[in-house]
Amino acid sequence: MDVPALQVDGVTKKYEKHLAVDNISFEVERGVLFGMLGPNGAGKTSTIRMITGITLPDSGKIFLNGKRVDGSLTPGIGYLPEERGLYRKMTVGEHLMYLIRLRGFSRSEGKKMVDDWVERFEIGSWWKKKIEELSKGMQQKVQFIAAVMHNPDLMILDEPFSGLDPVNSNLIREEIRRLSSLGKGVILSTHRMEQVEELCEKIVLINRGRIVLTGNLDEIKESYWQNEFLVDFENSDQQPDWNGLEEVERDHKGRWKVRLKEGQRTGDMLNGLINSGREIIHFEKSLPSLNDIFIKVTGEDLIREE
Amino acid sequence: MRKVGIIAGREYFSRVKKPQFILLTLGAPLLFGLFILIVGLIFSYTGSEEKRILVFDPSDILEQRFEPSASIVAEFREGSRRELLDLKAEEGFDGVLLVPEVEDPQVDEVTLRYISDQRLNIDLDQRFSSYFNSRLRDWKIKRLGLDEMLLDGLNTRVRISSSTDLVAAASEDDDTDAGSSIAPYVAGGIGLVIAMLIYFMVFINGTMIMRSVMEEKVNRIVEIMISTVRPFDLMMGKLLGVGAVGVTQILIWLIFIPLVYFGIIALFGSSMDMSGTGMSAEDAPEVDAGTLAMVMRELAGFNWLLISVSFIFYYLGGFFLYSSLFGALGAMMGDDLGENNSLSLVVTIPIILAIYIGIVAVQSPNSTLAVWSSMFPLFSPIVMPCRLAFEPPLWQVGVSFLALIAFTLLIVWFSGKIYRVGILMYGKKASVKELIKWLRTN
Repeated sequence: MDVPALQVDGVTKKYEKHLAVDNISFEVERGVLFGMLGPNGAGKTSTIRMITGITLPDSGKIFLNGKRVDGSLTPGIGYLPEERGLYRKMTVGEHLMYLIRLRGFSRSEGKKMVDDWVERFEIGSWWKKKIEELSKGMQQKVQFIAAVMHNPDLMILDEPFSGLDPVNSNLIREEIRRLSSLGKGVILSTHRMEQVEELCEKIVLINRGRIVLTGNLDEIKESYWQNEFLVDFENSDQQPDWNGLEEVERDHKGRWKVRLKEGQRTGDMLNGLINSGREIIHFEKSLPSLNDIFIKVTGEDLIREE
Repeated sequence: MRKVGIIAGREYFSRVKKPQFILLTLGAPLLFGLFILIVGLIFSYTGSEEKRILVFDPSDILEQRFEPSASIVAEFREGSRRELLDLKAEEGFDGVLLVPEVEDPQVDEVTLRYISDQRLNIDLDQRFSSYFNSRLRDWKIKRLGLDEMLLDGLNTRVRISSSTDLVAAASEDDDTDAGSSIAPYVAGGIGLVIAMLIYFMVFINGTMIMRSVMEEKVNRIVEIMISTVRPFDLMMGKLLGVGAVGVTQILIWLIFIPLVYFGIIALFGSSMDMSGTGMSAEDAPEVDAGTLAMVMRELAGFNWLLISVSFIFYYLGGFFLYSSLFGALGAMMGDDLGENNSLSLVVTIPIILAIYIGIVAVQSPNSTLAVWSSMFPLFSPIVMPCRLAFEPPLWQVGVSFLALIAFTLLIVWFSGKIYRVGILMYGKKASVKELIKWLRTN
């Protein structure tokens, strides 16, 4: 086993009286898309700022490719901040070339790397446009390129889909998958759980500076599964009727979510429902959503209003 | 170092490539001249409104003529005070001037009486009395039967010819007219213009740096760069880039202004008169063709190499000193503009003080205030150029140079520390306690 792209080991950061990050530990492996999830203000950005070397942890250690982050430069990181990290007065081309040269590439080397991404995203026609003339979504694409174009080992993407329309969201999503499959470490930081559920294999769930949950997403969901299934019938308005069911409710699509009583078997339930004369058109195991799990663990709602 | 170069290059070319740059650089001296001209016009402004007045002059001192200003139209009438006032009301005069009867040509005090609905303004008041004084003098000369030619012979024009070249002055036959009486004015003018230019450039470029640091902080671009560039390099790159923009401007001026100057001379010769400047002959009686030639000769006599080199040196010193402070300020600021303005006062006040001291230094270049201020690093970039044309002792220039270099290095180092932490902080402003903490950390 080679060293993980990133190891965070017992890291704590305090701002004045406010404990922003409290003894957090996790690992990001190469080629495994990693999701960092938590409500706004949970400590995600504070953690990222320590990983990128912008601030130093009060205690704990961070290792990048097995090398300790100690306040010196960390060129192996590509960081996409949540806000627009762009020079508004520069043109797209100037901006990308400036950043790639600052990362130590020569003009000609850098031009090749930038061109590769400009072609991939089909934004060649923007090359001479000023960044302030671009829409929010277009700017986000430029910023994404700026974060990943130098081929870093670890990419940290803070809310990469904000401001993007569905087409561009898909484009970026596919790129994130591709970069991860190339064996890069990728952290997707967001408060949108559906993005993490869709993309990530491993997650860390943070709330109020602490880790609430961490591990493989499927395993976590499996472990919080409570004998629940989704069923749908031909004539769905009528509630399913079988004495082995504990709780029955209807979801937003009109399907029935049922919970099996302790000790009952799935086959018995199906038999029972069929015998009650109903035509079953849909049946699946219902794993809890990350939000359900979050509420269960913390007693708070992940998507709480700010 | 390579990265500092890349950053400086961006800062430099993004400014110099703009079309406004060349326009502003070439336009600045013109604007500057226009500014001085307008200030001159404002100061020489007198109400141009015409006034018609009645004059009663029983002793005929004025000989039916009263012209203290072009805006005064006088009519001479006889009569009692009552009759004159009635006449004023009837014919719509603005005022009545009563000259007392004077018998004794040796009189040493005379009071003119002016009756009107409106008081005379300060300017007219002075013009009336000085005009009357000279007319009374002519009347006395006539009454006393004095010879005017003899009287004129009593007046002597005295000039001071100052020389700072002690060796040459020691030889008896030193008649090289090293400094005419106009020398201090020319020297002061050059000093003040250079000091003003440095002042404006330090101020404008400094605040430009402050704003660009603030922008980088607020839009978080600095967080992207920080993993590849040291904060200190970032700041140095910015200082060097913008500093080079200023040097480019100075070089353009040093080439452009003499070209224009000689161009004008070639076009118009030395027979230029001041009629175009808006000053009436009365206000600037000393400026004639001869004086202008003297100014030209003075200008040619200055040590232009020293002045040019010092111009660039003091600009750079002042720029690095103040801009690094402005940069540190920018790094400490949030996006609250009001608060930022009051914060930047801390840095702005010494520059403004410096320009005031500079104005005083031009008038008395060797006063204690001028000498010490021209060696004190916060003021020297502006005060020393004011003194330079007066050829201050070289040791003072040397001390001033060295003190400025040393102090600037210290401030750049200090600002770098504040910048490093400040630029990465967000969400809250820095307190004094925190600043001290930052300075202590590594």
